[in-house]
Amino acid sequence: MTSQLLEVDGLHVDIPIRGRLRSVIHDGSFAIARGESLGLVGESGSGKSMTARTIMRLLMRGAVATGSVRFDGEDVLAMSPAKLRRYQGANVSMIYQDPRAHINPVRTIGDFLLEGPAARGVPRREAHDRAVDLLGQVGIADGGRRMRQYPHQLSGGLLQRVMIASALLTSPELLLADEPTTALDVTTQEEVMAILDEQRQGRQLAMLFITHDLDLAAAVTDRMAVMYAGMIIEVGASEGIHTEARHPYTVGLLGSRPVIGQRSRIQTVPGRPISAFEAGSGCVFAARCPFRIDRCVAERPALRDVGGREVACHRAEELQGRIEFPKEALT
Amino acid sequence: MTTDPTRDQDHVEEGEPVLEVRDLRKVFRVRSEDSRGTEELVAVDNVSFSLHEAGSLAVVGESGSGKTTVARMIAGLETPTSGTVRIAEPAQAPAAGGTLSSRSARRERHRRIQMVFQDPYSSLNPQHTIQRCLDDVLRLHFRDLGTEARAARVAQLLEYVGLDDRHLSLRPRSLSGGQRQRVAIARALACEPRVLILDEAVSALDVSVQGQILNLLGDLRSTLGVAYLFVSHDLAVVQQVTDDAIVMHRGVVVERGSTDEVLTSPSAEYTRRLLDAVTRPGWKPMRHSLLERPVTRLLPVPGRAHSGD
Repeated sequence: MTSQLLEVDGLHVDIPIRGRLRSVIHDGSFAIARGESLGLVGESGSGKSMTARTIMRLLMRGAVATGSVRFDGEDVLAMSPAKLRRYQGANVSMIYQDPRAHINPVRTIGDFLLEGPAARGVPRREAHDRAVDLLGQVGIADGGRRMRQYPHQLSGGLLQRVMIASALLTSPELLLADEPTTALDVTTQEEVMAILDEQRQGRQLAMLFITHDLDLAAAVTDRMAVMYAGMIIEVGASEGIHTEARHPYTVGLLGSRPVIGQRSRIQTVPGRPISAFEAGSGCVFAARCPFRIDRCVAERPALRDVGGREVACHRAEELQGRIEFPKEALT
Repeated sequence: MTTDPTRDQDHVEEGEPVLEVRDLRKVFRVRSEDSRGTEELVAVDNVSFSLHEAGSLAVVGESGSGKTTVARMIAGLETPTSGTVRIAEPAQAPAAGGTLSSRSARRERHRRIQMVFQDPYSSLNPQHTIQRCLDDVLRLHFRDLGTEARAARVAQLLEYVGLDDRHLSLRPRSLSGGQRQRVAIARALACEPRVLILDEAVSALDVSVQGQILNLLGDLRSTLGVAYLFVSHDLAVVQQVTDDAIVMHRGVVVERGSTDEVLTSPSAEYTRRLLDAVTRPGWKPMRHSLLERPVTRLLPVPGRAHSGD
């Protein structure tokens, strides 16, 4: 039990939207072991970013989170301000989708990188050398010069490397990466992912990697959790996900992406992704699922072990290997 | 070339092309990197291609490749520094003389060519219902159509894109991203263009919706015979919608051929690099030597020496 670094159990989050509390996460349960990389995959509105914000305890005012988030056995949702500062400042680091939105445009890269160490009383010279060293490790050879530059003088890919360096600066145990490469060009994405993966593995860092791209997640994670409308609907090993996936939504998502060299009509999941608050009391995917039965609409399935994977589907056993979606354009 | 049974189009290029682009070049004047003066930046250089009726051409590239600038010049949203864009006349309309430079010339151009943008949230008027959004286009371009004829045409357009009369009274914010993009496509098709420019038209959509729109685009091309200029950074998506492709890097075309050839046996180093970066089952990210930053082909501005102090 204590081998888990992060344990999320029965997480439910409501946030205020136009004066009303609305659910954004219905039920989130997963754990990340030390040094393990877990992918959290889902489409827009699935609640994946909200999960990361809850783990960081960065929810907006008025949000209500129930269930538990434990870091190293400690209840994150009940941490004292002093403890929370340590947790947010040193134990966990976050990398965001848009580095430009998270860096002060009128301060230099050096100011940005040295702000944290200065606040902790690290001597400036020492902090500077460590920052330049870290920039080197993320593939920025001329770190000393870059430290004197401003964010607008760096490309998106370089700036995201600066963010990775900044996230590593405090030697955290857990990295939360929220779509860190979605805003980048594909060739830059590959570079940045290679660097992130290499640094994470070299340091035995645990990571929660949030993305909408199943193949990208599979490449850099040990296990993957698939989220839909505020529910984790499947958890299992990343390797072999293309053949082993059991939940109809996961299978549908895997088939929706065109594969180079296979030019045929694409399998499509009917309808559109819904938000957590639009889900009824049954399975969150029921409205789009070609395999739904009455029970799916009436009763929300819980995550359970089905042949080595955790799946929230009443029909997981009988559907295995038989899930196929139509190739329609009009749904 | 091998025959592919999934291709509905006879890949025969005959007759006049519906779109012909020759030696297109665009130079922007930008602030120099040291902020002290201006420099000229060659965003697009020496781009030529043609597109035939019901044909489809992908323009592939990353940010800064010049692909969107090419699309914007063809759509008339940007003036080329040099080179020509020739678009075939609309199916039934009086020939527009080459000297038209007024509103009617613009309207004429819009009848021949239409554009669908990446972001369906910002390309539709939030105040207008879907009905109004489509009807306005018909009123502008087909003045002799009566109310009933227009209503019938609106219904047909909605049917093309998989929507129906339940959506007529809705405003864009009541629609999902995929539905909005369907409306944007219907609106573009309303004036019966010869060429549809799709600029990253499926890039902002969720994966499970993207497939629906890609299948839809495939169906529409075979039904309506409209030609596609499909601008995208995503090679996997490009393959679904186009027969031919050009790959752009730093303003120039680095590769051209049938989409299948470009994807399966690329000849340019850059295309290979782009292909390697596409995530797919079993993919792992690799650290490559740094590519040069795109778009940095700068020319000295006449009369203002580029002092290297």
